[in-house]
Amino acid sequence: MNKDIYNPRVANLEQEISKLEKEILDGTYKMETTFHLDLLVEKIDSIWKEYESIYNGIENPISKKQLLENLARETEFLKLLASLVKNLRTGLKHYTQVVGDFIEPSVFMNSWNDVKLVLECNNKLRHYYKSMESLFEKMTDIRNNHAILYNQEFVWFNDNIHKIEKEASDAMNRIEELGNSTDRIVEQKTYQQDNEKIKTVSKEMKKSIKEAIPAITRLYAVADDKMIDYEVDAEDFKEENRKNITIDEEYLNTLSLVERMEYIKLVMQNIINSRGQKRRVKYNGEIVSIPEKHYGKWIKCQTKMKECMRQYEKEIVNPLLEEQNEKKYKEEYANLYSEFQQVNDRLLSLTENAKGYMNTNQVVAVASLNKEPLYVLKTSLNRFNTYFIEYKRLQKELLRFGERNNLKVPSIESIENVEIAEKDLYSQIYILKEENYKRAKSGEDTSTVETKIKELQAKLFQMNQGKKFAVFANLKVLFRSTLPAKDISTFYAGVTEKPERLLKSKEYTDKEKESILKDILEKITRSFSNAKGQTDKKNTLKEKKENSALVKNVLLEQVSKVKRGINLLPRFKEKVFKIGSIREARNEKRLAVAVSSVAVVSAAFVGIQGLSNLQTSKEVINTKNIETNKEDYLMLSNTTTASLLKEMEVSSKTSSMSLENDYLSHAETNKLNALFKEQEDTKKNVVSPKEEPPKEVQAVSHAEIITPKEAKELENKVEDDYVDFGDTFTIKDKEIYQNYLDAANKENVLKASNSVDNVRMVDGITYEYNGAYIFISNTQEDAEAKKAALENNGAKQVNYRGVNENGWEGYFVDENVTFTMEGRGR
Amino acid sequence: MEKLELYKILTIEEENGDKDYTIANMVDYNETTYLYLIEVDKEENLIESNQMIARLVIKDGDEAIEKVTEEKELKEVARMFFELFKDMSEEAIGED
Repeated sequence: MNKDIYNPRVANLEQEISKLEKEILDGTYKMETTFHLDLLVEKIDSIWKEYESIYNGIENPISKKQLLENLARETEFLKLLASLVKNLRTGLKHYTQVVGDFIEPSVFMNSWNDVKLVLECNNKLRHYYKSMESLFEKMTDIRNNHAILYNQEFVWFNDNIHKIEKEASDAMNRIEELGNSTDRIVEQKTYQQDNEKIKTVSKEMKKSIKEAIPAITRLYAVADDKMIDYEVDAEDFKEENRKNITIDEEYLNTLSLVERMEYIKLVMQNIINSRGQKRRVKYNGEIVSIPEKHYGKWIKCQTKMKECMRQYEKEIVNPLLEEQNEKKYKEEYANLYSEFQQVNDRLLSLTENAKGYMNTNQVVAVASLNKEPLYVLKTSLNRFNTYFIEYKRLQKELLRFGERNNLKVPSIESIENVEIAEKDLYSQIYILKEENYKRAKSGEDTSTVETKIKELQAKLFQMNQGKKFAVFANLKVLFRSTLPAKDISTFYAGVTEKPERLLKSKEYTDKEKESILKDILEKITRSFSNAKGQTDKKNTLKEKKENSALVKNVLLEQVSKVKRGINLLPRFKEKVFKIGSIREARNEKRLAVAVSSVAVVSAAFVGIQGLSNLQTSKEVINTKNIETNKEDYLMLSNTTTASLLKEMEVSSKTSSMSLENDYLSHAETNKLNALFKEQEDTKKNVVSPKEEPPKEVQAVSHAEIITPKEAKELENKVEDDYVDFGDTFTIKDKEIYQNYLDAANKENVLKASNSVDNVRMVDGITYEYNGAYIFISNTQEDAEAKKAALENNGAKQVNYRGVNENGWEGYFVDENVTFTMEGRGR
Repeated sequence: MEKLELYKILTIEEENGDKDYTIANMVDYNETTYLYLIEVDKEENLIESNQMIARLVIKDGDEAIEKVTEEKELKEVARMFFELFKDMSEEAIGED
């Protein structure tokens, strides 16, 4: 509280003015003659002086302003009163000048009543203004915060405003009337003279009235304008109209998505069409104007519309687009995948071709697709490389395509349920082989069955990766039979399954790893023969065959793995260098070309010269003075082929996966062809073994008497001779085998149905050549030539296929046969 | 074991420092993988003066190569590489 304002002087002043107003308006203020009027004028002057004294005494401008505000009403009244009273006194003076000194009381009183009337009207108008202000405040609050109530409140507001307005209007009219009330005074005193002066009195009064109350006139106009706004609002806030510019949530939720969007659009349009002070907003990419007061509603509508649009896109537009895209992408993807599959098939066919040449030097280990090395024929190496580069490119392309378009790329190497499928395949293969055997026995065509067998074997080969679980289980059983502790057997089985795991382990030294692997190898080999023994004695023929196949396939593969594991251990530590990293070449093709042009000559000289250290191609060329022309190189290399062939060790194992009864495998055919070719090349130098022995045999007739020594010599000679097709024999024991490999390995021995003395004839011969078993049938093309080629190279005859009067009987090992003298050397 | 493919580059940790070699050829013989390696420089150009035949081994749990120096083994393996390279050149001539 400011002491400057609220001091006793101001309070007294305020009180004095209020009292004066009250007395004048309620008629208690004595006003009968001009004397009293003069007194009133003096009083007004003194009050005014006091006010000015207080105002001028305040130094603080803020306090001054506050004083003006606090006494605004009082000062306004005082000003009006002063003006009215002074003008009245002036008017009355003129009246006396015209009419005479005596003023009739009624005239005086009427004039004084006019003053009072103006003051009353002024008060009423002021009240009207204040009432309106408070009403406006209230309505603004309702409009902003209680829009639903606005309408009903506005009705009350409207009524009250109009009531006050009427009263104010009446007061205004009365004042105006007073201003125009020359006739009244003139009527009372009909003096012809100085009508102008009398009119002047009225004019002055009118003028002072109008000057005194300009604010009220202004307020009236302002109020009028405001009323229009409030009327508009009242109209808008009417319930039926409010619905049109406000979103009804409950109603909205009953509509479908598209209907919702339509409804929101309608509301927004209504907002645009509403009246009121405008504001610019964006709508459908255009600028539109909406009433400022409805901006909040507009924003709400926009938000709702955006939600609907998003949902619309998600539920309707995007699935359509996706469907269209998916069709397009699926087609593209299918084409890409088909291309990939073609390349994949070509790769697999190359590896399939190499299958028959495994463990020979005809194949080379190339890329690895599933951490297992793939083998191809050396002659197919370039083709393989081309396809493989294409394969890798397409594989990456497929994956990228799938990622880009959110498509699921199927696993290319996925194998499901291999164990069951593989066993099924084994059974199918076994059944077909039985059928094949029967057909062969009865002389029927077996080619279709063989084709089918090969197909299934190919399928099995491809599924080979999945059989780890079955193998592991078999191995565990196997080791359990040979080792006491369950843990060790599990450990050994695990190592056998994946020797690399042990090799990469840091827990064991290289020496310990070696001893473990060798121990495993020994146990497997021992179990292999034990397993053979069991199957021979206890099981049926079918079971024996089945077990034999499984045992062979499972164990021999493990043997190979373990051997490979052993070979992965270093021998000479000082010659071992760690591989830091492996990466792809930046330009594989360029490197391939460079390698082929450089390395060919180097390697050739390594092979030929047997150099332990490689020399550069240039050094060797300079030393030997040989041109680097490719054709010359090939000529050089060809002359060494024959000698190399001679020296070549044909390494073969008895681990061929297929039991092809009477037919040569690819590996065996090729070996034979190589030897046959060798035979042709050196034919002149070869003495046909066929020529000599028959002569010698013929020279000695079994009818002649010979000495025991000669007989022994003859026997030795006969024994040294090779058995021919058509030779006859009997057997010592009733041991017979169903195929040449069984006979060679002495597995799955059966009992011959015919007696030992029954004479059989040699129909086919099995040779052992450098660890490989090669069967030659009498009916084969070039059988004699092939036989000769083998025999000239020191191949040993190990078993024979015999036929008797009943037909094809089986295979008999060499030790079990006794050849008849008649039957030999015919 | 890491995938080994033709023309991949191996970084070998030798006594005199690391060197890069390309796998010029590979052969599988007697359950052993043999590699024909030729040194390359940083631009992957061949360094003819440094070529070797090595077998793949695992020493102390880490992948490594062991130089083949034993005469008999070297002769056998070298001949196999010779055949391979010969076939490659024949194919190359055939394609020319």
